[in-house]
Amino acid sequence: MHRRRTSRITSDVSTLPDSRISRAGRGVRTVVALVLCVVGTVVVVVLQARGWRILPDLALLPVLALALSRGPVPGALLGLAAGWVVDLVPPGGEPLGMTALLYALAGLLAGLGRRVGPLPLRWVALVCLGASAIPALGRLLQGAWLGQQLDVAGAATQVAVTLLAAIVLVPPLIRLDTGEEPL
Amino acid sequence: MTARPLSLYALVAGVLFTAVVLGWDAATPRAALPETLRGGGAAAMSPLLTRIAESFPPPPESAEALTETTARLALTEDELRRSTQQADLATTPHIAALSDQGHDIVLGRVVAVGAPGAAGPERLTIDLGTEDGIALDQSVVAADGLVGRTVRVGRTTSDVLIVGAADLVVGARALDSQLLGTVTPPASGDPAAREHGELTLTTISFGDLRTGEQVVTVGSPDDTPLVAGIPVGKITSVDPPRGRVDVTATLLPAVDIGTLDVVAVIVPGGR
Repeated sequence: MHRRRTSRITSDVSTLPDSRISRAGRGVRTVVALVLCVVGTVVVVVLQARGWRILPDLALLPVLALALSRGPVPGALLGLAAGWVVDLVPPGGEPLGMTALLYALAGLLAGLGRRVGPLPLRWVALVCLGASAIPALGRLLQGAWLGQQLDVAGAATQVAVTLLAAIVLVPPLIRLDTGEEPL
Repeated sequence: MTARPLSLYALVAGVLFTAVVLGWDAATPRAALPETLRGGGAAAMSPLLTRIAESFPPPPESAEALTETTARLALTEDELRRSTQQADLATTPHIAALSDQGHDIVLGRVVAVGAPGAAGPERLTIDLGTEDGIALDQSVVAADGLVGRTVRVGRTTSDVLIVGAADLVVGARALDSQLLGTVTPPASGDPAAREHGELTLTTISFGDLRTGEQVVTVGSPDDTPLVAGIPVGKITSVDPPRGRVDVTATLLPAVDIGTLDVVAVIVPGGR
């Protein structure tokens, strides 16, 4: 009898039940994630000043990883904090708080995609695609509200680049948050 | 069991606070709380950003000289405009007051460019602040023309609202036709679609606007925020007439933000 061969691409990461992670460990890892958001924000604004036109939303990646690891509320909280970092690191966002709310929404959405156990890479990619589209959509809606012509192609390119970066960086960040050693 | 409700309460409180700040900042330009928060962020991060910028290779001397020359040329045109106006309106107190003012040109570098808005980047940060004599609402120029105006000034860095940002409307004059108008980011109601990075020139009267015509700033009272005579861009196409008195055209900005390095801030009245 012919047996159909199934393959499952995984990101080599798995999430743990809440009870398996200590509160102190969570706190330290949250601070590490926030520091990574600051580093990501600084890298993006500095590289843009050196002529890099299309860059991934680096500050969003720790938010996606932590949300996939811990769920919607912690994801939204870190998203809010990371968004404030993006809004406050010069030259900052306009209006102030816009990025914070969009990142919180992205963290909330990514957290809804949390699964206990192994995370297939395609699931991580799908969640990251949906979540990273939220800030881009928000900025487009803001532009539409202001009556501007919209750079939809530019926004789509940035989402695609962020997705590529997420596929590479989010699994190791999830591993960092769960304390799991690389396989 | 207590961690989850606390997180939820913290999230709700954070979202409410953020919504209040956002609404306040959107409704009132330069409101106290948003500006205080921006100032705090700048104070915390500016040393790091300027330190990183210093680690990059220095710009060639020719770039600094070219930027300074552009700024001085703009000022020369401004002086010429003032002289003409003074000849016509010699007794006008406003013009007389302007003639007594001088300008300083302070050179700096771009250290950060912000996240793009719906139509492109809207803000950048330069390594000049109050220590260098910079203040709010001053013209920022590059070798090719107008970059924008200062909207937040810290001790060592300043944020610049870039030409093409939704909040910056530039009064402009087409050099050949002498038509006056405004330069704004492309709007959804424009008669023609613009390419990424292009702007819209809308004249305030009907006239013969030509492709290839240079557009410069008309300036502001007391040169705040903009000095006259700074190149803004070049007209690449004129939109078909819509039966209205104004004429609209596509404007290619003189400055490419993506390749910007050395900039000059024109400090009015410093000379």
